[in-house]
Amino acid sequence: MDFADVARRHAGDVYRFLLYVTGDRALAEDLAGDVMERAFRSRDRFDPGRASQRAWLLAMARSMALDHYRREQRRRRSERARADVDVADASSADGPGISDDLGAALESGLRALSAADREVIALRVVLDLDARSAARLLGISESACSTRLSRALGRLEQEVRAGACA
Amino acid sequence: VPVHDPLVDSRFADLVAELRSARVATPPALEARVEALVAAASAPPAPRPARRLRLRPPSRRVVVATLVVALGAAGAALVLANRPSGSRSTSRAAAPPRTTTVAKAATALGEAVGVARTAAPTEALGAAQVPTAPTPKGPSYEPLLKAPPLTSGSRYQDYSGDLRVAVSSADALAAATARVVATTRRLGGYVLAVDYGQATAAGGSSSLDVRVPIARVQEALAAFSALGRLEAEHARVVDVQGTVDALAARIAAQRVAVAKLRAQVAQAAPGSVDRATLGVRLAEAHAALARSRRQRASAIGAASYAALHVGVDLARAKRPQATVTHRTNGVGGSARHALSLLRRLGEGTVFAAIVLAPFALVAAAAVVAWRVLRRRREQHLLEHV
Repeated sequence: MDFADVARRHAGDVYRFLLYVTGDRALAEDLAGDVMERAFRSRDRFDPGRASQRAWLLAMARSMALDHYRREQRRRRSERARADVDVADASSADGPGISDDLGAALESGLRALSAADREVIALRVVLDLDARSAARLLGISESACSTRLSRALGRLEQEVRAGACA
Repeated sequence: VPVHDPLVDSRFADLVAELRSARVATPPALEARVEALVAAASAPPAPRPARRLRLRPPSRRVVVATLVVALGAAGAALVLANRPSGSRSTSRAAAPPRTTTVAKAATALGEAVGVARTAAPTEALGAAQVPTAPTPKGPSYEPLLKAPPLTSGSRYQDYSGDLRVAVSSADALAAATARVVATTRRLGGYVLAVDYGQATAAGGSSSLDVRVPIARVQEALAAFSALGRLEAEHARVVDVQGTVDALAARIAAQRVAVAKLRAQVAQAAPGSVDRATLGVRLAEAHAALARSRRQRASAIGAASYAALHVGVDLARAKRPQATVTHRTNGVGGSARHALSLLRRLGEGTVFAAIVLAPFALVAAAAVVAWRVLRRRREQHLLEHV
């Protein structure tokens, strides 16, 4: 595997995926850098028979994001236990948006969605990953992936309409 | 750009178009980080430190290979555990000359006795029971008479044996029964009991209990085995030399006691109470001595004759079974061994599969459940972010 070629070609995809999942540019940048480092370390273990290079990197990115959320969950729990008060989420609701090209309604609609919804939209719509690869990456069947995408888009549309009406 | 998924209908077309048209620039810091990694990747590899042991989850291929190896090992273990006695006999062919005959014998009994003789030729078998020979199959079975003589000429032994032969006709049944009686008498023995019955033309049997002089038991076995197809045999030898020796010692002691009492009686005054008492004790000592002598004579008598039970069955002629040989040379022998090995491997595989199947199912169910649980947790985590 030519790591230089793979890294230059797909680093942007990894960043975009993480940006949509987390909704946080700084966090997505950090995680994308970590993903590329991990890919660099484990480049010898890449098996082209199991997945494409892009899907391999995206799977790694998803795993990184999950690890990050688990850590956050644990941190919030321990802080709640110590302070006995509600601790605010570390999400950057007030930070810069996902993209400057997105309309305000769509931006706020995306933020209103769960990370699970944003994840499937990012994979299937933004990155245009085929249904089979996306389903495999998410660990579900293709039909379940399609259903999840349809519901996520439906919710996004509702949020966008609600935002537009407001 | 159209969405390929059929479930995404045209309602979302505008939404999808807007999402796809939004440009997201890769941050320069990330690009710099990637370039640094690319530079590191293109640099000549530095000497790697000693690799640490990494415990990675086994791949599917490793799991399958492990399963196959485990099954093979289980099958091989089963084959080795059920290895036929013939193979063991063959492996002992290089034993000292005294056991050569044993190595040729097919019976476990022959082996056991041979081993005992080799280990301690002058020692008795003691009270240990010689193991029962396996039920013979087919005409090629080498009978007990080909094993070395179980009796020892220099020691007293109780010998008992069972022999069962099959004959193919009613006439042969009658003739075989008569020959058992005649042979027993010719060898100097006697018939203790005869039970002869023939219910139908196709069924019948006779059962004979005979006693044969111990020195001629091999002749008797040879003659009885030749009456028909040997079906089963069993021999039991118990050494009674110890009993006889103990009785002899007791008799010697009792003789000394009797002699002493006689002397005391002779010295006692006639008509005295002591003399009468001593007389009573002398009579008791005489009786005890006589009992010991009778016991010794009985033990020696029992050890002089072998107790044989001969059963003759009338059975329909069976198809001759495949000859079982213990030779390993030749194409035929190799093919038979190979087929036998394959059959046993198959049996072992089936056995292992039956034993391991429940565990494998439980393990597979656990893996599936763990994966489902993990996906649900991940989904739950992402839905609540």
